[in-house]
Amino acid sequence: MLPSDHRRTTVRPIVAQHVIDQYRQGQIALSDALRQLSGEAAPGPSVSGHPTIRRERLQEILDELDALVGLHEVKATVREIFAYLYMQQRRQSLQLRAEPVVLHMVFKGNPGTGKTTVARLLARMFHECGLLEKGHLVEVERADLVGEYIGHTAQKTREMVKKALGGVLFIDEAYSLARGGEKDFGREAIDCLVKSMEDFRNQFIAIIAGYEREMEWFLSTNPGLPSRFPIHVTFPDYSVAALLEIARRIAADRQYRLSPEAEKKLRLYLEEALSSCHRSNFSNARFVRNLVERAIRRQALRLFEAATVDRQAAMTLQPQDFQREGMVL
Amino acid sequence: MNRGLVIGKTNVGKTLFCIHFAKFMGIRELNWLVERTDGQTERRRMSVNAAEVELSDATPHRTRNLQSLAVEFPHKKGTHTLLLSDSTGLCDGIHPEASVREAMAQTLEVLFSARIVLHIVDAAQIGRRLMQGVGSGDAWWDPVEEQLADYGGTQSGYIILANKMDLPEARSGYAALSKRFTRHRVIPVSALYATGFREVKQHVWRFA
Repeated sequence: MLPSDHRRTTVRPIVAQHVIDQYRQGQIALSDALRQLSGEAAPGPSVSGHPTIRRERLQEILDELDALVGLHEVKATVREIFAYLYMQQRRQSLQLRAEPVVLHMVFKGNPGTGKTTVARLLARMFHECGLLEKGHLVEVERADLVGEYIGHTAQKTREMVKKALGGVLFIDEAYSLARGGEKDFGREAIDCLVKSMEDFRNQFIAIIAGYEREMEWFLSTNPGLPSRFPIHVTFPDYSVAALLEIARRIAADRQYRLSPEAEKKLRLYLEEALSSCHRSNFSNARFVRNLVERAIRRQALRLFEAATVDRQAAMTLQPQDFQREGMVL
Repeated sequence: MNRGLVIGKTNVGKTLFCIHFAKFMGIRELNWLVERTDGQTERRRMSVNAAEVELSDATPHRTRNLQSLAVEFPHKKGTHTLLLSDSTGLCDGIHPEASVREAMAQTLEVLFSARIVLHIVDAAQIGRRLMQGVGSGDAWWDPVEEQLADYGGTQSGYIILANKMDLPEARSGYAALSKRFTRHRVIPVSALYATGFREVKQHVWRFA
């Protein structure tokens, strides 16, 4: 379709594509788009080979990540990756060799520790700094990869990988691929995945996520797996203070707030839940979200009888809204 | 196959230029390759007369897709084929209609890969503006055309075609154009009456 002979333009295709995309989404005017396309084509601003990642932009992206509660280790790892990417570009501009980086990752952590949230954020971040062409996130689970009959699995898996090219392939609960035993098709999916990861090494990023203990076991089932996922990120459980902050934000997002007494009661609950024997199936932030959502429903029920409701009352969650019985763990 | 892109603002006569230029090159039946913005392509076959009536119009954004014609040029002993692409008209600002924006973005994308860029400017309109607002400096000149010309300055296959030379006001418009763009080649043409096509053909032939 496109002419075979590409003319030499000084604008990097990826930058041009970005500008055109911005125009398509109606973010910039046509003359601005053209100015950026032609302005950068001019030989003027080639100071130190102008890297496509700008530090300010990167900082902006990282600030977004910093807005998440807790997750210090995760943030540090991500910061490391981005600093490395930026450095790679600067090295390239100095004509030093910059090896392409393998960024396949393993996310390990208990339920509700933010694995999926961070993966979604990362896909966008990688796209914005130009590492990934499209930056979309393809979220798959066992059912999307494993087929129904012999030979079907490889076909399905390859299809998913093709879909994810230029973006992130996020496999949630990845350990379930290895769970079925020797004859299960999940194994075939793993093998196919490992192969595709070699073939399209720099074209997509695979992130596998799951609970810590299960993931350790999963990585041990195939000797090729651990080395193919060089980046391991562990999502620790949240502390009580972090969980409270999360509760506050969830409430604030929906224009609710917790009364001081309600907060005290919530803290008690959380402390209890954290120290209880059901520790293993405590679902961290999700638990808090469910608790707050339940409280919102109960508050609605409480105010159902009231004849008039003022703004203050409609916004505040009281301690009696937080109920212990039938807690969703 | 090399691509020659016909680009310009709305209602400057891009489609009519394509049709008549193809006719000038000896094509009797137009075989359009339409590249839709959703990535699909289709072929449309029509006569020159039917194309004039059907494809060109006084309303802006008549052309919503990239539509191309294969034009053959004699080259040494064989022929070279050039894909002459007619594009959606550009207009400044952020167009409220998503489909038009999509089409314009498609034009920009092709602008990057095209070997020849024929930038059509409405010389008559410039002449009219000159007459109305004399002395107001650059008021007659459009930022979009300016940016396009700037971009074209970095490319070798770029020329400006001052269209609508059959209209009386176009003469002063052409003069202003060639004065302003001393770095670019400006060819006066009339898409309607197929004048000035010989020079265009020479240019295109050189780069095809």
